[in-house]
Amino acid sequence: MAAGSTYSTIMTNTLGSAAASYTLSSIPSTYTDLILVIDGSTVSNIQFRMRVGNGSVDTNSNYGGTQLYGYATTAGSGRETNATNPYIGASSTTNSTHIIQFMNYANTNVLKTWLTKGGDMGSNQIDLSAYCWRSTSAINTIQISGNGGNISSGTTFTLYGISAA
Amino acid sequence: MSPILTGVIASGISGNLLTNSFESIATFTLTGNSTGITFSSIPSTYKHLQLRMFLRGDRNGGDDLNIKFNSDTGNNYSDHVMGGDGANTAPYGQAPFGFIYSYQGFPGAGTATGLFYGGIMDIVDYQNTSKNKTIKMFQGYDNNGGGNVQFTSGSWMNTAAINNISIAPRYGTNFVQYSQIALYGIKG
Repeated sequence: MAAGSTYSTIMTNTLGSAAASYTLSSIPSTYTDLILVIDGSTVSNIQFRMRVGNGSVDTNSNYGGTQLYGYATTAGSGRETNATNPYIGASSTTNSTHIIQFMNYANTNVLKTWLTKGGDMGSNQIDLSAYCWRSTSAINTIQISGNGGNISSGTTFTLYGISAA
Repeated sequence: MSPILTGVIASGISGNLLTNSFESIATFTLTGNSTGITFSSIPSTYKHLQLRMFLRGDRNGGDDLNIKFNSDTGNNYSDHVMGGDGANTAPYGQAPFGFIYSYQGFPGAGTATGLFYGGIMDIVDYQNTSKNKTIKMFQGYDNNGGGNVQFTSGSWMNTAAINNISIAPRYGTNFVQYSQIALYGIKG
């Protein structure tokens, strides 16, 4: 079996000031999967949300997701259908980390599936989810936003590419 | 802490600290239907393994995953799952069992065209002959009103080093075109 170096940093950025959103663009299509790591906070107790697209992000109702979450002694499952700005995870003024795995993001024969896991210190919530962007377009643009509030200064976004043999 | 998570955080600090620590071993990408995929002669030179799966089947309503190690078909596996179907949490487990199992794991006929499941399985310390083998798996798919997300811990109750992994639909149907399973090795 062949082997090779395969886990590369594509881009990384730290917000120098609070912002309503952050966009990663011109993502190369040369990897198999992408991993986006978000580490930071928001200016109030809200949520991180995300849109993806090719050239520009899709703002239409083309997203759906299945969620599993837990906080304190509560566990639950939820769903978004025909969403326009899909959920990533809970966020607060404390700190949260979310890892999003985009599978076969550049394959133009398939719909786009990603898995997200994360947790937020302020709300003590953990989130797991599976989402689908109902498009066969390759993802080369990702926009992260705070749902109803700004993303805090100091929040980092790091994008990795994984190459299969 | 998972070595995968450690590596991600390390890479986020500066540069690409993970160069050559996470290596692609082999990848199967289907150009047509297949009843299953097997990784054989897995090298012993890594510390941990990771399977990254992107799957669709042809069974109406989807199928479960059937994962075995070293061709062991005995009841030497166990797993516990925390799942969500969009309305309910669904914890379940089984032991002993004949394979690592993913209930209603991946989509099939009747789901949106082009919809695939995503799954990531970490196999920890796969070469250690003093331990039974432990796996953790994160997986799911969404069909805009259907689907599931699951987090699994499992065990192969055998101390043998893993050199063979087979992944197949449980009910004997097929994985379809564009399905892909990639095996990676992580150096410790």
